[in-house]
Amino acid sequence: MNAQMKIFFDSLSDGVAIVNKEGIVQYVNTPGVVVFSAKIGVAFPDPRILKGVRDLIAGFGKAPLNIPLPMQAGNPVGCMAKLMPLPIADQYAVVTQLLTEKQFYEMTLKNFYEFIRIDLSKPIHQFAQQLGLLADEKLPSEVQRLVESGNTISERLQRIEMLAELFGTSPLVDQERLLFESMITEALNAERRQLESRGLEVYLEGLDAELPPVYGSRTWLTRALRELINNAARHATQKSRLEISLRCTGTHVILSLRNHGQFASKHLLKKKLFVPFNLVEDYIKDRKFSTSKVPGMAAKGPGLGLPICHQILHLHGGRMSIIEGDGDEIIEFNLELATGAPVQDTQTLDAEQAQRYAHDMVALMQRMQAAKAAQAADKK
Amino acid sequence: MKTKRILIVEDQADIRKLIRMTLDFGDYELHEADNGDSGYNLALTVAPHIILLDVMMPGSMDGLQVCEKLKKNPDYARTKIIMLTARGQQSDIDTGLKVGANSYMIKPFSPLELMDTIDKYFAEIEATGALV
Repeated sequence: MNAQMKIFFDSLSDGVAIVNKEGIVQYVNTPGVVVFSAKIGVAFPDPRILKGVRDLIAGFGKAPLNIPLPMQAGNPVGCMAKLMPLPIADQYAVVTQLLTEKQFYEMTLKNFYEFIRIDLSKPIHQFAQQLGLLADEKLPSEVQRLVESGNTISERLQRIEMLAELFGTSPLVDQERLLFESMITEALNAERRQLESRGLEVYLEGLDAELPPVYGSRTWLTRALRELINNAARHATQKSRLEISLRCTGTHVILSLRNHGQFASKHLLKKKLFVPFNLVEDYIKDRKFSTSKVPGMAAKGPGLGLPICHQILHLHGGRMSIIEGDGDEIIEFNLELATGAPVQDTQTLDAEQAQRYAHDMVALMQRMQAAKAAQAADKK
Repeated sequence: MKTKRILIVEDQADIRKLIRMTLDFGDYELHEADNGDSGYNLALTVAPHIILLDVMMPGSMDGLQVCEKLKKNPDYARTKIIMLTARGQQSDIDTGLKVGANSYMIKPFSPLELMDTIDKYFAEIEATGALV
């Protein structure tokens, strides 16, 4: 191996080793020496890897093989090895991932969420309440500016809290079987106060039991629906209609949400979908738009906004778009999700299923042999 | 001898193969489909006595919807349906039984248990004289 390639492999945090078909180590990078205790010119020290190489040569199993390596005594590091053939004849690569690194980041994130949810939640809400008490007060201009800054901070802290609540309690991608009927009902109930305060009438169309299910995270997708409804309600003209319709194209369910309202610009709204949620207000201000100047529009709420709705759908293989409504005062959102479960990886049979199959096949064969023997005995 | 027809509806090719290899131990006429829509249509065509139906499948109909639609059809109300689910979640099982499934098996399933369940169902079908 040339010097540059050696530097490259040594700079990786994962252990990498190359072995030949006899399992003799041809190369090992610096992290690999620590993780595997492997030495060049000597057989790879773990018998599981040697067996894996023999299995691949014999055509058992499909590469890459995932081989969990045991923890060494007194060492809390666990690791998963991937074994795969290299394009160079009779050479195999062993790559490991240290589980502790993943665990470290998971723990750090968990601690962060818990800090926000437990330690920050109460002061965030107290702060918002205190600012609310000052809303109708006649205040000196410098105090007014301070209150406005406080409102901005409070709103963003509430968004962070909502995100922490979502991230900390629910996996982003899941495979729950979801029916639109229950998700829409849940989202409408959650946004009931907003809808009532705006005096909006909600019309539902196409919400029947024949709609195919979608698979994903109930928490996250319901949240996306909530954000969409919340946004539509806030931007709708008071006492107008909010129309939600569903239709199935065979492969997708499309939810259309139409609100009658006034918004600065459809063009801007389309762009807003792709702006990270915490930048939206700045984005609007930069372009001299202010939602508060739109007549009949509700004040800004602490929702997570359309960008996160867009991201949630994207993670679930769906998409969100805005289409031109009838006239300038109708905005129509289309939310599209694939029907049915995500396509499974069919390349490799689950190891536990394969083991169970092998075990049961023996029993089935024995049962057949016993049946044949009984038949033969009956004939005699 | 009357033909015992079984339909396997499963999107994972390896699992379908595994079920077929297991059922080859018996004397059955086997049919296969890799999604809910084609499984439903095939069921209407071949009129199987037993259907092995995966819950989670891509497409416009998953296993639970196929089961519900078939069980609502009087011609198929007596067809035995065994749901195959990758998740042992009680909600999946409850929904499966609610839409008319006769039983369910959680993956990774036992081929031995599958054979026993199928034998039991064919014994019931034969006893009612429904094996045609």
